[in-house]
Amino acid sequence: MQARPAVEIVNLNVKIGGKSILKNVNLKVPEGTITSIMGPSGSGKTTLLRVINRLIDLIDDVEVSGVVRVFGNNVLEMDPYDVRKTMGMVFQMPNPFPHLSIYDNVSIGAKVNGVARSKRELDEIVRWALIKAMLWDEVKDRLKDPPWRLSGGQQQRLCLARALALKPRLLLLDEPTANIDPVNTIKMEDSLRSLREEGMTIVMVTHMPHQAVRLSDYIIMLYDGSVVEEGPTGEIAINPRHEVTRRFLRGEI
Amino acid sequence: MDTRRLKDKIFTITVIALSIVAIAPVFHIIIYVSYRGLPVIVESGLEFFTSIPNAVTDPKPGGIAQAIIGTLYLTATASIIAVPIATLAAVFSSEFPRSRLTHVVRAASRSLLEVATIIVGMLVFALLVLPTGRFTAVAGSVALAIVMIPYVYTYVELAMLSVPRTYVDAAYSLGMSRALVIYHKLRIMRRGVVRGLMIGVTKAMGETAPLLFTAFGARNVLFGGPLEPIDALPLMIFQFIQTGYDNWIKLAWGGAFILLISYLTLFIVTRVLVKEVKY
Ligand SMILES: Nc1ncnc2c1ncn2[C@@H]1O[C@H](COP(=O)(O)OP(=O)(O)OP(=O)(O)O)[C@@H](O)[C@H]1O
Ligand SMILES: [Mg+2]
Repeated sequence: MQARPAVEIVNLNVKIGGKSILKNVNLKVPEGTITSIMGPSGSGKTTLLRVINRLIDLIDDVEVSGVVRVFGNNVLEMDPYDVRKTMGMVFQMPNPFPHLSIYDNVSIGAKVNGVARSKRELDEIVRWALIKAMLWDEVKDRLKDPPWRLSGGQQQRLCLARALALKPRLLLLDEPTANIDPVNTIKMEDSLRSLREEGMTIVMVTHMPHQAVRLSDYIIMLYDGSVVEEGPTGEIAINPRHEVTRRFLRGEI
Repeated sequence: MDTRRLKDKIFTITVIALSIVAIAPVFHIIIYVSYRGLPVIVESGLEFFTSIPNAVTDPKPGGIAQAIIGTLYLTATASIIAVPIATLAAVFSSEFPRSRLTHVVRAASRSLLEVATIIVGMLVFALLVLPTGRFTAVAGSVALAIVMIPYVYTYVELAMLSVPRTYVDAAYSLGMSRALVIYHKLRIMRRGVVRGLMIGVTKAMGETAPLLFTAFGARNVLFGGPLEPIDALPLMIFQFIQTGYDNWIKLAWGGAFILLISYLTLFIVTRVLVKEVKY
């Protein structure tokens, strides 16, 4: 991995309610790449993302130790509210805010974080984010509509736009296409590729080996809270060294 | 007709019949109160809303303005006291469900719900009426506020706890402060929150017992101020209906009709104005 790491995790240990969930995790995510985190259910993928943006703090009874550097800063030593402003997150289930319009769903993060200083700048960011999420053409005439008028796949792209409006350098996605149809999945993937073109670093949890191969530059394989294998997609997908990875790629776990 | 469809039909008919039995009393009340109350208002005309009760010997019953003003005043002031306290407590409990304070508040609220409201009246009597030596509107407001608090608290807390976790995660993931997240949770659950407020307000509007030894009732002036006794619709109804004087019994029915209309309007207006958030 030659590029400067956007995320660098050293000796990360996470315990929830006394139970070890992540065990001595070490990994690097190179800047400007798409990195897939794969692994069977319960291996700690979501937990790993939530450590990076400190959503883990919302759970009671967690112990986190180690170093999680994002663009050089150890987020574990920062104010969690400041950490979250610098990265976007998309969740497994589409979850646009039900009480806000399509426009407000996108603008809200930019407003909260003072990314936009005027209404015009805000409009511009909303437009940009929706274009980047490949949703602009579908919603530009109904920005005041509530999000439930959109299909599930459109809602998920709205959530991507919401995250993008923070103008983050790092984007975290937790199985973003697990609950949407193939057409929307392709749009989402196109969108992620074009964001990578612009230099954004993307960390994506995925259950689907095919998606990881299509989309990512690097793959990190998690099993039972530990990293069992990491490397460029070509190497991992074609020549996995670890038995767990092989079984995962064959769809056995 | 095969037996399955027959069973289906019997089931449907049973459900409809039972529903009718269940809501029949409500309609009975609405119809009966209108039947007794509406003619009184027609007989008194505008005076019903603008003047105090006439003497029992008067040919016309007069009005219940003092009771309407009293109920408006008591409900408004009780809400001003109760709603902020109850909402803050509810937000605290839902944000810190494991806190010691939350356990205490919940237990207190639950016991307040169990306690007969006349006990609340006696408590306020001991605290505010005995020491000052007078029945006051303030004592009435405080008694009604105490009655309201556990209702508003329970409903608002329930609403806050039912916000789907995923919206809370999304809000925090955008860097929102805790206060801002709470604000958005309240907005997502606006229907439940408003329902809680409404139940509190209707409780306060309809209670008689807590007012007996606090607000006491005053029927010779329209409004005497916060430090004087004050009338209220349920208090007036309760006392007038058992007097045996024709005029006052009429006013009691007229007042009951006004109370009923206020309930219905409140519920319909909030239902229309505060739409459920769909997701
Ligand atoms: N809030 C929590 N409280 C207790 N245990 C938790 C909590 N969140 C996660 N865990 C535990 O941590 C482990 C890893 O969970 P995590 O959600 O990170 O897995 P995952 O790899 O994302 O799984 P999936 O593919 O099913 O989403 C699981 O054993 C889970 O039970
Ligand atoms: Mg997960």
